[in-house]
Amino acid sequence: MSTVIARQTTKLVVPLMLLLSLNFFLQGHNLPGGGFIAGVLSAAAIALLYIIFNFEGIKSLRGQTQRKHYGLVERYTEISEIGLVFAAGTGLIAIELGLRFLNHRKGLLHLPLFGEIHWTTAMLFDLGVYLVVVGAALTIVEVLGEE
Amino acid sequence: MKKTAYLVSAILLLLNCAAASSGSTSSAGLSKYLFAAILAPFAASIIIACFYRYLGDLSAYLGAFSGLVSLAATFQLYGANFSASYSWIPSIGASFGFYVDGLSLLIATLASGIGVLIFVYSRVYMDHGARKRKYYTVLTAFMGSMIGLVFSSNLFMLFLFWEFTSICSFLLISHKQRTLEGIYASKKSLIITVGSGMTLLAGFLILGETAGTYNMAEMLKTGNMAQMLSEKSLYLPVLGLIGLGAGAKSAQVPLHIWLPDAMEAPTPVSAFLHSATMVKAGVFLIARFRPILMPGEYWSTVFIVLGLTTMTIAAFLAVAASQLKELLAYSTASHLGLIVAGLGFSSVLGAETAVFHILNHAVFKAALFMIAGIVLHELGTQKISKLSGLRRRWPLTALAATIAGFSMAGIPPLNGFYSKELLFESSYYFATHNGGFAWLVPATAVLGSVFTFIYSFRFVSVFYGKKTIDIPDLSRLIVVPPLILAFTALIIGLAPNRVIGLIVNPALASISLNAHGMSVHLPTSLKPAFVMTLITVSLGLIGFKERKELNEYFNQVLEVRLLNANFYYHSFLELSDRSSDFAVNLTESGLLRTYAVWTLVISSLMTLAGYLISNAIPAVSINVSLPLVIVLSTALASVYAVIKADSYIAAVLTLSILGFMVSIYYLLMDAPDLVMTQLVVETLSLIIFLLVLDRLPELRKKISASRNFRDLLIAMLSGFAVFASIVYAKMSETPKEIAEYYVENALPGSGGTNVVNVILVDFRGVDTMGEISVIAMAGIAILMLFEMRGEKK
Repeated sequence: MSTVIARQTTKLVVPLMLLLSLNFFLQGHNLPGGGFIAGVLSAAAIALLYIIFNFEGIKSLRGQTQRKHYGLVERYTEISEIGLVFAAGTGLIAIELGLRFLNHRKGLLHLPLFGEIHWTTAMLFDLGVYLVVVGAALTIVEVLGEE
Repeated sequence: MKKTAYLVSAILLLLNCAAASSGSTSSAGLSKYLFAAILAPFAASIIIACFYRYLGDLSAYLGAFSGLVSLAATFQLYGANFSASYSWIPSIGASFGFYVDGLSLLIATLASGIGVLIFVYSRVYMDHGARKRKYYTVLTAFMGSMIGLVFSSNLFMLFLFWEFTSICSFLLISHKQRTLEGIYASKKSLIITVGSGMTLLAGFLILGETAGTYNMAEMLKTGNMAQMLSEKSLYLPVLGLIGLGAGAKSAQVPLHIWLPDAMEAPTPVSAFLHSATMVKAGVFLIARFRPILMPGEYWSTVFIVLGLTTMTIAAFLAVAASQLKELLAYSTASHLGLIVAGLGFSSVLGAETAVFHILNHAVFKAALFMIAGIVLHELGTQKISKLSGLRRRWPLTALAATIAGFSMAGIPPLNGFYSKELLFESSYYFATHNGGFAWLVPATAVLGSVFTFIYSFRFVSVFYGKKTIDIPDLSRLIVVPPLILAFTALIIGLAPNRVIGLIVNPALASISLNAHGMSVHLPTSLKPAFVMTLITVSLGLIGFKERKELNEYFNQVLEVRLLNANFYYHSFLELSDRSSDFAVNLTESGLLRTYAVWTLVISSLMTLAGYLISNAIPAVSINVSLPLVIVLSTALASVYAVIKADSYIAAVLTLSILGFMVSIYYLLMDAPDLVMTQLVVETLSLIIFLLVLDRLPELRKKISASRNFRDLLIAMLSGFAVFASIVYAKMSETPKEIAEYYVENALPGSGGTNVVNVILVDFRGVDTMGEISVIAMAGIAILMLFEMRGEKK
């Protein structure tokens, strides 16, 4: 279906895109980025895989699917479900800690090699956002791609 | 798919719980009895729903036990008068607010006390019935929500319980599933009671916004709400809306038509919901608002007319009825009318009538329904003309029927006599004070009572005379509950003032502005009210003798279609059927473009109308730089190219030029986050577009000029609506302080320097939570669309 050049480029670009999306996710609090953009970028990377290596190829990566059509899709919806639960969960934990729903804590952490790392619980919430976006976008791509 | 639905609903529930931060504002040590009274039936309901398989018919006794718990808890509360409140959704004023006073205790006592008897009775009545699990689950849940309703102080909570009782009623009326009558009756009750519940909600909202609180306990403290409402000329709307909601629930004419059909339900349900408790909810509400709304001038007019009309017309219909339960249904509406009329009188006597009759009616009517149920259950028929002489085999039932029936007819010294006497007194008092047309009021009261007398005797007469059909033996258990109630009626009749002191006086105090302890006595001299009673009894006896002719004559009157309220109900249904058919044909062609047209046109028009009403046309000033001009004109050019494109591929690719131009625009506006988001989203949506492209139908080249013109208009309209929205959003740029707040607090508050992201995940985290729920749902929705399409093939 696709040319050798396209396939080779994709093999090179997709890991880079995923790395970039990780970068976006991590720097989100201080520089442009965040869970949403990172999620869309990751989804775009995987969608690229789909197009270049076609859908059958992607499926064979995971071996047999139990139900013929929606094996993968179910995984994707699960990702977005987990994300939702995760995001809501961080809010509920805040209540457990005596804060209000979705309030966050922040602080500094000393790690041997990296030096001072700035952390905030908002990141956990952002991870939920990331998972929801990836899951939902890939559900759509997969379902449409089946056609 | 199911799993996902559960997950999403679990999340919504969690969010709701999270929003409910607990914190009691005021509660006495008595609250635990309050919670026990409300929660015991619900707990029983859940247990029955889960463990019916093991409980079986024991469910009836479990229900009775939960009723006993509630009754005991209610007794513990007697004499108390307090309110407690726990916040729930503070932003709209909804809270778990409870208010305990005489009125709520009276009805809670009835709901739990009669509930106990109903469950015992159901044990026998439903012995061979089907779907008993559903029956007991819903019946206990109903008992809980009825008790919850009367103790609610927050109007939203009250409304929820109110609708919940309507839904329970709906489920129980249609208990004999799949019979046409059952479906018709339950649908009718749902349309009328829930539909009018909407007007009730509207009334509550106006009332709450005017009072500044949705807490009834606080409203009652405010006192004269009527004046507050009149000043804003909202008094009549509120009175009308609440009166409509309460009147429909309490089967007031002309909305009484659902009640006779509701007799399709198993008889214990009719006895419990449709005579003793649920239909009292409307009366309860009118009584509840009486102290704060009565000072207005329309109160008396509205409720006296409504009440007495209902009392007379429904009693007339009861005389014309041919079935026992039908007779009792109309009679219930009639007695509710009596109570409403009592609440309408501004004198203390009127309040006394209403409160005392709420108690009396519940006692004798529940007994009569149970007796009608015994007849229907054992003989399989309830046609009055076929029944006679039942006394010979069922002496105890006949005794109970006679006591309860005579009480309904208002014969001394039974309890029904006293409240009817009070009605006569208050109507006479009203007439002497107002004169003129007001004399119609006592006259109507007497007329209604004459009819009441006639149908009460008709009911009792089936037990006397010659035995005409085979009568089987009765199970002893089923006779006990009506006997208990009949003797309660007798005891109240023999020692009325003891009961009044215990139960009625506290309730009276909560609905009457200037109440002092009431007491009733058997008449010793020829007072006007007693004269009215004498007239009633003598006319009633004559009417009873001529009952066959009366029945035929009344039925002839009912043949006239325009006099029949059901005719209007059916026309209404037909009309709404036809108009919804029309609307569906118009808007739902199954073609995407039809949906797009309607959605776009209506939402744009509504948006623009909103701006027009708000009546502020902003001044627009545009200053553009050269790069901006270049970017925007490229975008415009790409739009033109999209329109002129001759294939989908070309159209999509040129459309993405527009998207990338927008991201450059963001770049010029110094919004790097938006640029990145726009770029990635643009890419992803391009991919998705390309995936579905070859599935789209052929690009149509030839489009008729008129359609083209229509589409142009619609496009311009929606474009203009969006443009106006942006201009308006720009205009109301008050939130400078808000923006500054975010910028200042992002680093110290959340430790992030990217303000956009800090807003997303921290300041407005709950919004983001909502947005990602929408994203997840959109994914699932698309999945569903495809999956369902597959099923259809």
